[in-house]
Amino acid sequence: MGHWRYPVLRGQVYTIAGRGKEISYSTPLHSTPGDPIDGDVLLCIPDRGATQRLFRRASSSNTLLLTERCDQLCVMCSQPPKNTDDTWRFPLYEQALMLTDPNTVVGVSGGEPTLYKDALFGMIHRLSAYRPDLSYHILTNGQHFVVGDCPILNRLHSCTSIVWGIPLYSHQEETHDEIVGKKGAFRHLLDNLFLLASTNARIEIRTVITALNLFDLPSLASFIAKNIPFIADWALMGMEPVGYARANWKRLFFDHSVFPRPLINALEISALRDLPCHPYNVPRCTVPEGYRGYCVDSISDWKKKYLPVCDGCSEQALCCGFFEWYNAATAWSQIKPIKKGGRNQ
Amino acid sequence: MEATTPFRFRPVLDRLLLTNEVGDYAFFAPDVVERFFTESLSNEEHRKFRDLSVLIEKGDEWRLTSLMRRIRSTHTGRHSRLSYLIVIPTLRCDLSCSYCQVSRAPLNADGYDWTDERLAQFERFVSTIHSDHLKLEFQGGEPTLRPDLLNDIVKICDQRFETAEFVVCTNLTRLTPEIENVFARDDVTISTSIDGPPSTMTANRTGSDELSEAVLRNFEYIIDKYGPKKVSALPTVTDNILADPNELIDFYVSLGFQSIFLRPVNYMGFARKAHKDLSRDATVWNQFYRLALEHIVDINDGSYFEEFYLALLIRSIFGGKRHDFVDLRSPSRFASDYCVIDFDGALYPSDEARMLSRTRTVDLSIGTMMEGFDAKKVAQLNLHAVNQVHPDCIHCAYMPYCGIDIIDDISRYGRTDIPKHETWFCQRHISLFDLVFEKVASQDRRYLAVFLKWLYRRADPPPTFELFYDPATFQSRL
Repeated sequence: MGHWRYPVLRGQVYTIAGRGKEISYSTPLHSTPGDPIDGDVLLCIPDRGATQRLFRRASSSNTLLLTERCDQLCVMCSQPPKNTDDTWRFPLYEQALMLTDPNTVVGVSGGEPTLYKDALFGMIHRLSAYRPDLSYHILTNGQHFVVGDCPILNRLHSCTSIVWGIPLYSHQEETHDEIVGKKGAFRHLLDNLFLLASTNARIEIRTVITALNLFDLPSLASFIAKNIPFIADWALMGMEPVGYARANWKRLFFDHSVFPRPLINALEISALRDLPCHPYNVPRCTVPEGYRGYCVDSISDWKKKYLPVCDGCSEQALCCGFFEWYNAATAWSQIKPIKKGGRNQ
Repeated sequence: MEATTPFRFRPVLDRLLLTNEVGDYAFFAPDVVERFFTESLSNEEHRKFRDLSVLIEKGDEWRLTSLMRRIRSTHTGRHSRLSYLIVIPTLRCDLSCSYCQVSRAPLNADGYDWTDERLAQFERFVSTIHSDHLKLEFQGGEPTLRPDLLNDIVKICDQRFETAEFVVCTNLTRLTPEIENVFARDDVTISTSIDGPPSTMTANRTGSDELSEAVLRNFEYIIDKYGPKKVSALPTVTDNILADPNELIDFYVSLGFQSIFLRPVNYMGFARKAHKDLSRDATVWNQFYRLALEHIVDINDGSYFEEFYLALLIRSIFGGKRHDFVDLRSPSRFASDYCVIDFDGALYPSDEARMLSRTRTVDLSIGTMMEGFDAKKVAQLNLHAVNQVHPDCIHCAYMPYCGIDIIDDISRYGRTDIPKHETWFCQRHISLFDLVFEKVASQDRRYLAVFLKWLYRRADPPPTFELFYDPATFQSRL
């Protein structure tokens, strides 16, 4: 790999083979032994003098931020929307996907990626011919599907592995709408969950645990089991303390490590109803011993940390840990290393 | 303008229980239906009607989609293939139980066993079954009188099906090496009758204390040798037990059971005439059952013990577990997934139907192994075996949880068309559902805690009392 051979106006994607290479507009690429860069896919934007690592070979979670625009305004949004036009990046993302390692799981996030659903569907569909090995995990609020999308969705689901991660915060529409900041969102979402399911979509329901919906979780479990049992997984997610979640932390945070009952009951009701359900971003020591097996090691490696108190915890290797920006002073009070055999110390 | 979907209601204690088409429920003030139709619901009530998908506002049509999906999933995908056979290899029996004059022949009688020809017919019959899995139950008569036949039938099934499981319904009066050879197979389980302590066994079944004790010895021998999962037992609750349920229940506990199926005797023929009251009126049974349940709830304080039938209802009402109890389903779909094959090769829709035919009450045979099912007769039976369209059932709040049993109606009343609320089946089930919803309405934690055990099938269930409260009620309690 060397220098650009032709002028680049807005950007170019690049695979890296080798270390310490230099790109023509003088962005030195350094890598450290702990952070190898071989095989990464970069997006270089010369007129901004910027380079983005789109796909890191060493990481199991690579996400394309398709757009920063969003039509919802969730109270705990970790990535508050911005009204920027990123459509010029789409062709570059498509090239980047062509360059990724085999069998990459491609996260697609936002903002709300389905604001540009035609571009998104087209991209995945075209790529399916060349890169059938890629699979996608697309985070969407589920508001923008219409009946007319069914043919393309059917096609996509028959040739590509896609998991649609869709938030549902309560079984009560008022609560859900309040959390996502959009009236009518709940009804629209439910409509579209049935529409998506009719195209054989794999759906993951994502529920961020906040003080606003914590006590709804057991009823939400029953609601999901009764109405949308066709989902592949129900993710109960700890808040990511960044963005709006950080700004609204006092209003939104509930210390389930002190009172885990609603969370546990949601897990129990789900198990009873054969609904797969897993806490994400929930450190193992914050839930009682019998429920730790449900917890998923979900926090991406590049934003995960452990606390000093985690030293000596026998389950650290299984634990999601904490977000890099986690502030121990304002969050779970019962963080304690787990002794061998399961007991908290 | 809002759309409405069917709902049903029934007073329970001082509340009105209201259920929707698929059995979601909520409690209301007694006069809510009147206000529903005069459009004077409170906001809270309106919201509950909406949560039940009874009222569907414009823009809220997903509720209709969901309701349709749920109705469809309760009625399709099951019962399509024959996969459960009850086989009577011999009608002969060495016992002469007080409640069984009809489904047995004397021990030395001729012509009541399967012949080689019958076996050949069976082989041809199962070759037409399109299932990979078969469950086969040996009934009688006493099937262990002919272990050779059991072996032959098991062999035929092993060849025909990918997997098969067998249940031998036996009185356990004897255990010969030939019989044990059958029992020793991993895919064979045993079902036996234990009506209570030896004295009751003697009175009801064996006629001799020695024999009663032999049965219990054999029972314990099987459990010791093969483990408690090998054998299950059923009591037949007769008049002498009705007065004191505790003795029977305690006896089951002492035998190490965690479950008892309180199953009323169904008198046939002459016995039915002798016990006319009990056969027609379920009041006595229902009183017995409530008493028995009180005792069972007490036993659950510190351990696990269930009444099989109520536990099945609880799991279906609150746990969404579809049961496949053949006498409590609707539509009954006779001859779709199970049937009975008699000693003479005749096919019946259920074991009770076979007995009714034996007493010459009515010929309910629906074909033979040779000629297959009589489609016309099956269709005629099935036409009347759907509670969802039965004029008496469609207004019942418990319809979504209940079934229909026209064979039982025929056996008791000689016809299927007497008003359902006058039938034993209906009275028994209304009483069961009333009991359940009274406990829910009054939030009786003592009972609800036991219901939770049965839901989770464990002695230490999580306190998910949310399962019993409709969301609206639960919210307002916080």
